[in-house]
Amino acid sequence: MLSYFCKRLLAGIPTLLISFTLVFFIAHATPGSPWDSSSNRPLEPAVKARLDAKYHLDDPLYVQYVDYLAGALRGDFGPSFRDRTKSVADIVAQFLPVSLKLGGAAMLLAVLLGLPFGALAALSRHPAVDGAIRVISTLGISMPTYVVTSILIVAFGVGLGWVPTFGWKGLFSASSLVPVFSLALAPLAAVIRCFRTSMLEVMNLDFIRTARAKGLRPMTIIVHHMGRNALIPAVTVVGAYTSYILVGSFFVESIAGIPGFGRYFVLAVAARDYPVIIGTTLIYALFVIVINLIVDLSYYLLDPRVRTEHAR
Amino acid sequence: MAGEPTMTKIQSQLLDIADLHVEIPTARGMVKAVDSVTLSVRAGEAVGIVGESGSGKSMLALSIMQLVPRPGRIASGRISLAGRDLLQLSEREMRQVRGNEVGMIFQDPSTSLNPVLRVGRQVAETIEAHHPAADSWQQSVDMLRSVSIPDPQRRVRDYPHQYSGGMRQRVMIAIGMANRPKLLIADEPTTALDVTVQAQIMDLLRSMNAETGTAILLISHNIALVSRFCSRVLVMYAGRIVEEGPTAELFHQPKHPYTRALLSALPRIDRKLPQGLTTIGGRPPDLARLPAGCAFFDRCQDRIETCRTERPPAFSVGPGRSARCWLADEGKPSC
Repeated sequence: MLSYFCKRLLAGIPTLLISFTLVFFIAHATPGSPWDSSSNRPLEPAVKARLDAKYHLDDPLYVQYVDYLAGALRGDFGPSFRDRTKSVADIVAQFLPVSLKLGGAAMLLAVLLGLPFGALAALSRHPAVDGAIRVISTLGISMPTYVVTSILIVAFGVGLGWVPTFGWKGLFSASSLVPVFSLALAPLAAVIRCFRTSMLEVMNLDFIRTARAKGLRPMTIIVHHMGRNALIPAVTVVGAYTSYILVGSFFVESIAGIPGFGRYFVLAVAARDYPVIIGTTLIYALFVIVINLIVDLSYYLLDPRVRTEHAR
Repeated sequence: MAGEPTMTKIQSQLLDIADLHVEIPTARGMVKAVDSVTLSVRAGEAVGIVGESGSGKSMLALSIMQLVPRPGRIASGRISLAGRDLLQLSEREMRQVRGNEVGMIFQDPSTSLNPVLRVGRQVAETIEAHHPAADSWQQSVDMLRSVSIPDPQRRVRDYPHQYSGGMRQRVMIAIGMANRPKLLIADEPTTALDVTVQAQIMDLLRSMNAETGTAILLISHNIALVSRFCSRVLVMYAGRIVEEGPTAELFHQPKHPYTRALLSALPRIDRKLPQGLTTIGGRPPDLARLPAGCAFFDRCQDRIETCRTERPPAFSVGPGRSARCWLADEGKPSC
């Protein structure tokens, strides 16, 4: 069992290496250079050449690749080209925690609301309840986050004045309400839909009839018998959204004025800030690997049949 | 194995079902899954219900527990257990009957147990649902021992997939018997099991019946199994009880043509079969469009004109025996 997860963890290394390589070459293949300024005063070609030389951008690409990989393996991703006073590590340390807090809160909200609402939609005998929950979850999946964020800011920030329209004062402040909810909406809708479907499948299985024949209370049947089994497919959906939500959303962070990782990543791409692009992409890849591993681990915890397979 | 059930001397009716109707609304119309069924089971008795699939026997079993799957419902009738009308109980009171006064085991033990809960938990929760039991885990170990699970102390911690099919059905029996119910409903308890295991499970049920005095309502399509196990048999066809009587008499002198056909469809080692096994021609009727007369009319070898138009009542054909057939009416001539 432990060896299985060690193997899975080791298998993450080639994944990271492949991500590194792809991002490195795609970033460098993109037209433009870090020194292209968007301002009206472009840099002199001589200045650009000297900057290229300073940052070894005039070396052949494979040399740059090997040099950079060697640095990355030591944990050194170099300075950001956009803000040369900061290293990539500084930038990650500054911007990632904000996105992690926001994304973590959003995923927590999505799970804590998604499971009960999904169960309610599946179990309710009133078609209206199921219908309403399905409409909301369909909207949640189909509405782009920038629309949701804008609507929420206009409604609650501008209109009602309950929340600030822009800026970040920490997770436990009114400034986090709109971004957390905007981020949570898509995973919430997905969790509702997935859990509703799997509850509907589970509730007609034979062992639910057995549970009823035992004279168990309805809540016991729903939580211990239906819920435990229906949770297994829902975990996959939660896992898929978690890595995506945790690293932050460009739209939500830009619109709500959050100094987060998702926004910084997109700005870095636009500025051809190669070290930051590569560093942030690797962080994202790492998240995907670790969260997939956690999803597998939770299968292992939730489903004893998986446990026996690994024990063999 | 164990001899006669010990409590058959007590003549009080344990389960008394009168004129029960279970209906399922479908697109094709109202399906009468159980159609004016009357039956009774005495305390400690082993009663069998025989019928082919779709005859309504499982619906009858589920209706005793009031677990008829939606949109099916009990339309009318009376189900009383030890003198108490179950249909008058609230859902909360009915929960105290399920698993406590009436246990139930189902056909397929591989799907009837929750795959993600330990076997012991599944037995223990049955006890906890009805008794404040701090030692429910120990009780479930004892229950597993009583159904001959080897090494119960250890295997109580296993999950259902670690058990064989026969062991799973033993667990189902342990669950059904956990609270020493007055009645155990066994719905096709051996159908999903292979033959040697079938015999072990039936032996276990028989000893449970003898040791605890729990009455057993055995539901099966397997007429041979029922004849070996039950003292009284009811034959069900198209939602109705067509014949009823003490096992030996009913099987030696069947009064209803359907019972006769069932018995002649049975392979017998002591009988030569020159033309192979007899089968019953035709198919059971559509329960949504039952004919006006006898439901067996289309397939009956002995039908008379009355059978087409008039539904036969249950005629008494001897002590404790009845048959829903016009030919069983001694007043009428048979043709």
